[in-house]
Amino acid sequence: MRATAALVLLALSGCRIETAAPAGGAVVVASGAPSGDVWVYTSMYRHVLDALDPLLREALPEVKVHWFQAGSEKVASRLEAELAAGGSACDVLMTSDPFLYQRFKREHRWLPYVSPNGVRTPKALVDLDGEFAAIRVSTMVLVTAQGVAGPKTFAALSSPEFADEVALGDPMTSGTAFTWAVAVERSGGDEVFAKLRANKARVAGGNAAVLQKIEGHEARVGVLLLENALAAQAKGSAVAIAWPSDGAVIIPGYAGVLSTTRNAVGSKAVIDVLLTLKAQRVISEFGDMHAADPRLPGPKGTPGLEALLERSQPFDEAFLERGLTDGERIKRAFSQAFAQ
Amino acid sequence: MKSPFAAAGLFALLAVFAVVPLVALLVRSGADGWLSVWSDPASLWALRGTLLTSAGAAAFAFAFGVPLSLLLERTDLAGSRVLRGLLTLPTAIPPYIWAMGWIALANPRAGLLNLLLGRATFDIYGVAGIAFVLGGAGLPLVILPTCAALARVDASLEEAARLSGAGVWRTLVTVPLPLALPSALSGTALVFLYSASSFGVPYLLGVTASPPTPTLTTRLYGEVLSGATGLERAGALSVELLLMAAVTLLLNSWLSRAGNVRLSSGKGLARRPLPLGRLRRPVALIVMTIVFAITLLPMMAVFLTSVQPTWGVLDGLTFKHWASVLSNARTLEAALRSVVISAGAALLVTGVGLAIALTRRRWLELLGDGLFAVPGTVFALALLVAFSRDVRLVAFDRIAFVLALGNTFALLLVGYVGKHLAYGIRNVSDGLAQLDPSLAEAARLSGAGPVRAFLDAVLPQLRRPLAAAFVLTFLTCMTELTVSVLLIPSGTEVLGTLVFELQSYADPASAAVIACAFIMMVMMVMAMTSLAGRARRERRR
Repeated sequence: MRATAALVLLALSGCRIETAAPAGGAVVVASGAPSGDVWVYTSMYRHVLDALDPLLREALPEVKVHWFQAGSEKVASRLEAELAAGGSACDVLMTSDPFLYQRFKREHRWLPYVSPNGVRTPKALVDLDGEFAAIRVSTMVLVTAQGVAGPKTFAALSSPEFADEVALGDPMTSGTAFTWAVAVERSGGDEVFAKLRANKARVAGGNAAVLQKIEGHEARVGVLLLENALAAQAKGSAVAIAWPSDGAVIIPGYAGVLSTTRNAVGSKAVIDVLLTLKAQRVISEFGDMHAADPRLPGPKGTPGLEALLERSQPFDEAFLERGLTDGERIKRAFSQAFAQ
Repeated sequence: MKSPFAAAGLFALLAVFAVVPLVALLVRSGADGWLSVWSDPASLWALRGTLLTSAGAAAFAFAFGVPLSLLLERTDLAGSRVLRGLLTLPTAIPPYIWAMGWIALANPRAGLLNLLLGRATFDIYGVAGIAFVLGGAGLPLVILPTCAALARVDASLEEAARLSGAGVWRTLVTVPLPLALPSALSGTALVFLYSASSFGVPYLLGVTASPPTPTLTTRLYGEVLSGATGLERAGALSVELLLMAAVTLLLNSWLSRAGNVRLSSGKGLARRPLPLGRLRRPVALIVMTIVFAITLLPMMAVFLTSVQPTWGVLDGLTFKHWASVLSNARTLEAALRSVVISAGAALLVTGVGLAIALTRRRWLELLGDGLFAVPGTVFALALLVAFSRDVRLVAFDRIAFVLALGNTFALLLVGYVGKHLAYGIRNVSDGLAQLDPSLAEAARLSGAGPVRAFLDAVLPQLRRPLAAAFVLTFLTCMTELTVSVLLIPSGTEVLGTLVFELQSYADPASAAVIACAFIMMVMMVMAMTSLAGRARRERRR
C-alpha cells in the first residue's frame, strides 16, 4: 500500500500542468484577402443572423463566420470570463451594451477600425477615436395597452394619472433598462426613482417581462425597446407605441474588433459587409430596429435614423463616461428607492 | 470501493472539474473583499430573501412530499401510478416557465384565479409566492427518494404493527415513516439547496414584488452583469451560498444519521399495500386535489400560454405557435442534441454518484453535494475561466495529455454533471445506507469476487435510487438554461438555449410550446414504460 502510494507520488513529481491558448484555432491572418474563421459574439437575434449568413457567404466566400449568440448580458459574461482566463476566441463583438464598449476602450481591448462603409453613420453613433461604431440602433420608448391614454413623456410616468400602472425594466439585470435609468437620472437626478416608486411603478425584470405585464393587463404603461414593441404588434399584440416628447433613449448596437483577434483582416471584412446597404436593410427589417445607415427608413414605417436622433436624448461619449463612472451609484439609487 | 485510491481518484476528478475552477474564481476576490460584500446591507437583505424563500420551499416540499409518498408507495390508493407520474413532471419544466404559469394564474391584478375568485385573492409575487412555486417545483426531489426508500420497507413490519392492533394511519406513521425519514430529509435538503441556487423563479416573482424580494442569486446575477469587479463580488456572494450548503448538508447528515436504519436484507420483499378501506376514495380525492393544484393547474396555465395569440389574451386561441416552433428544423435538432447530452450527463451523474457513495466517505459526498448549491451562473463562469485555455499535463517534459475543453460540448457536459452530481450521490447514498450487507457477504462467502458480489447482490437493490437519480438529472438537464447559455459551443443550440432565446426575444408562448411538447414526450415515455412493465408482469404470471 505504502509502496504504491510512493510510486504514484514519484510518477506525479515528474508532471506539471501548463495552460495555453487553444491549439487548432484559426491561423493568424494579418494581410491579404479576407479568409479563415471569424468568431462573432453577438446579441443580434438568431433570425437576423440567419438572414445575414447568405450575404456574408456571398461577399466573403473564403471566410467562415461562427456566431455565439445570446443576450448582451450573457455574451458579456462569457467574454469576460474567457478574457479573465487569458484568451477568447472572440474576434468581433456586436452587442447592445454601449458602456461595455467604452470600458473596453479604457482597457485598450479594441483594435481601432473605421469601415469605409460606415462613413455615413451619424457622428453620435461612432467612437470618435475609431475604436468601435454602431451597426444598428435600438430605442427605449413608451408603450401602452391599446386604447389607453398614455403618458407623453418619461417624466409623466410619475404623475398620479398613472399611479400603479407603470412597468419598468430592472436596471440591475437588464442592460437596456440600465441605459434608460442613466438617461432619466441625467435629466431628473436621483429623485426620479423615488417619484416613480411613490407612484407605485413596478419593476419587471427584462424587456420581455415588461411587455408581458402590459399584454397581461398587470400594467397599462411601460418603458420598452422599440424592437420588442414592433415585433409584438406584428404578432397581433394590443400594444401602442408612444414617442416620449422628452426624448427617447437610443442604445447603439456597436461592433468592435478585439485587439486579440487572430484574424484582423477577416474581422474587418465582416464589419464592412454588415455596414453595406443590403446588410443594413436586413438588420433593420428582420430586427425591427434602426440601421446605422441614415439612408434607410426606420423599421416598420417608424421615422428614419436622423429623425430618431432628433427625437432622442443626446448620446455621446460624455453619456458613456457617465454610465461607466456613475453606473454603480445610479443602480444603488434605483434599488434603494424601490426597496422602500 | 473502500480503498483510499478510489476516493483519491474521485476527489481528483472533482478537484479538476469543479473545486479548482471554483476556488480559482473565488480567490480572485480575496477574503477581505468577501467581508465587505457580505456586510453590505443589500447583501444582507438578499441573504434574508434566500433564507426565507428556501426554507419555505423546503418546508412546503417536506410537508406535502412525505405524506404523498407514504400514500403512493405503501397504501392501495387509487390511481397511485398516474399520480406518481404527475408528481415527477415538475422536474421536466424549466422553473421559470413554471413561474410564468403561476404569474398567469395568480398575479394580483389580472391572474386567472384572481379574476375567478375576486381581485387580489392571491399574490404570487414576494416571499410566499417564491417559496410556494419553488416548493412545488422541488416536490419530486422529496417524493422520488422517499418513495424509493419506502419501496424497500418490508411489508411484514407493517403487518406486525397491524396484527398488534395499530390502525392504518398509526401503522403508516410509526413503521414506514421513520424508516424513510432519512431519505425524505435528504430530499428536503436538496429542495433547500435547489431553491437557494435557483435564479429564474426568484427573478420573475421577486423583482416585481413590492418592495422587491431580492435573493442572493438575483443580486449575484446583477453583480456579474455589472462587469469589471462584478465577477469577484459575485464570487463572494456564492461563497455565502456554499457555506449555506455545507451547513444544510451537515445538519441533514446529522439528522438522518440519528434515524438511519437498515431496511432491506435483500430477501424478496413482499409488497402488500396497506388497505385504506372506506377512506380509499376520499383520500384519493384529496390527493388528486392537491396534485391538481400543485402540478396540473400550472401545467394547464403553461399550456394555455402556448395557445394564446398573445400573452394574456383568451380570445381566439390558436396553435400557430405550436406550428411555427415544431415545424422549425432548429427545434428538432436542438432537442435531439439535448437528449444525447442530457442522457450522457444523467449516466455520468448516476455512475459517478454511485462511485462516490460507494466510498462511504462523507467529506467526498459533501463536496459533490455542495456543488448543487453553486448557482449555475457561477459554476459556468468558473468552468469558462478554467478551461477556456487548453490544460496540458506534462509528464517528464513530454506532453502526456491535453485537455482542450474550451468551446466544446464536453465542457457543457462537465457543467451539467457537476451541477447535478448531488442527485446521484444523495439518492444512491441513502439507498446504500438502508442496505443490509448480509446479502453481499453471503455472495462473497459463496465464492463470488467483490465485483461479482457487487453486481449480483448490491446493484439490483439500488435499482430504484439509481433510476431516480437518472430521471431527475435527465429531465432537469433537458431544459437547463443558465449553464447551457454560457457553456454552449458557438453556433450550436440545445433546448435550454432555444427556450431562453424564445422566452426573451420572441414570445413566452413559443417557450411554453417547447415546455409543453417536452412534458407530453415525457408523459408518453412514462405511459409506455408503465405499459411495458404491466405486460412483463402479466407474462410472468
